[in-house]
Parts: sequence; C-alpha cells; structure tokens
Amino acid sequence: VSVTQVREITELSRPSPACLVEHPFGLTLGDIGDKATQRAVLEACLREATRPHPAGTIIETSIRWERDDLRERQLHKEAH
Amino acid sequence: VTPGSRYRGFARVEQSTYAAASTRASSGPSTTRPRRDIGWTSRSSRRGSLSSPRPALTCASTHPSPSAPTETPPTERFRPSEEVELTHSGYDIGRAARDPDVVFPLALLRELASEGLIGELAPRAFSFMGYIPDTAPLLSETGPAVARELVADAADLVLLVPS
Repeated sequence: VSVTQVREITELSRPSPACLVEHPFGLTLGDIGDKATQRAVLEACLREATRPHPAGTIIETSIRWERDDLRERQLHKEAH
Repeated sequence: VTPGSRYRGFARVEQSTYAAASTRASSGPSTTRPRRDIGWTSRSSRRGSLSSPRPALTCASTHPSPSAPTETPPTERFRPSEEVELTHSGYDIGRAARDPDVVFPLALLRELASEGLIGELAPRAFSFMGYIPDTAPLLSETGPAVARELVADAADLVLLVPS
C-alpha cells in the first residue's frame, strides 16, 4: 500500500492501492511533532491494505494540510 | 508539453521542469528512454486483520548515517536500528531531520507493533533515494531487486512512503 501526495503522479506511476494524503512534500505524514495526524495517516493506509480494492484504486483519505500554503507553493515550484 | 499530453497538474509541472533541465544538459549523453506503458501494480489476495502482517517500510531520501547515496538510481537498505540521515534536493529536509516520522515512520510503526495492531516489523527498510527523473532503471532493475529482497525478508505488506 502506498501513500500518495499527488493524484496525477500516482496515475502515471501506478502503484496499487494508494491513499491520497494532501500534505506538503517533506511532511508526508503530517507536521513535525503532530503524532496524532501522523498516526492517523499510517493507520488509514494500513487499514486500506486489508480491503479488497481493485487495481488502480486511489483512496481519498480527506486528510489535508490546512496550516498554511506550503503545499500550494510547492506544487507551483515556489517553495521547498 | 504538447496538447493532449498524459501529463496534467503537478505531473505537468514536473515534466516541464525535467524537459527544461534535459535541454540545458543536451550536450551530454541523453538520459531519456522510450516510454513503456505499465499497468497498475497487482497485489496479493491476502485480506483480513492487520494484527498479523509483517510490514516492511520503503521510503525516499533516507539513508544510513553517515554514508552518502552512491548507486544510480541510489537505493539504500538498512536495519531499523541504524541511525539515518536524509538527502533530497526537492524539499527542505530540515523538517524531517527534526522528526523523521514525517517521511520515515519507523518509530510509529514500532509503536503500532508494540500495541499489537500490526505484527513484527520486517528486518530491513529500503529507500529509493530522492528525485529520480529517469525511472527506467528503477522499473527494470532496482525495483524488482528490492522486491526480491522483501520476499526474502518474509514481508507480507509493504508501506511505500514518498517524500
């Protein structure tokens, strides 16, 4: 099971299944020290690994980065 | 990027960036290879509770300390007990250096194992180092080699974490 941060990259690389977590690069599981979110991401992905998803399934976790615009700036190559 | 390209969104941004870099480096040997279509990765049919799997962790940009990645494409194998460092040109590694669980959730996996939510961890973790624009060697050589090693380690679930 994979974590994916960008759906359109996953659609090219085609792992299976993949859990979409819209976090910034370098903070895949969550913010520094945010163990609750990190664990939620991890548990969500592991849980999906036990389910019979057909190949190509990208699972929406609804986990999103809301702290600032770091992710948006990264997606526009404006920030690391 | 041509109209109707398969690249869209951030994939289009990345493809454009790579194409521009390739053009600047065009005096050197070409690193582009013919694209081959790949299907979605198949998976085993094993289902059920998480309490027994032996998961292995694969990630990006992590390598044993204090070595530097040398393979092309760089791939690292390490024991979970080893100290690790991060190297990646695509994001600020300072954050993950302060809390490795953000990209390399080994401590969290240990926590889940200690609580019995998952089985024991596989003996090794693997890392495909950072930015790899030419993925052909990864698909044809490195990936299959790591898959064989994961089978040898008796891992029955692999968690892939990008960074």
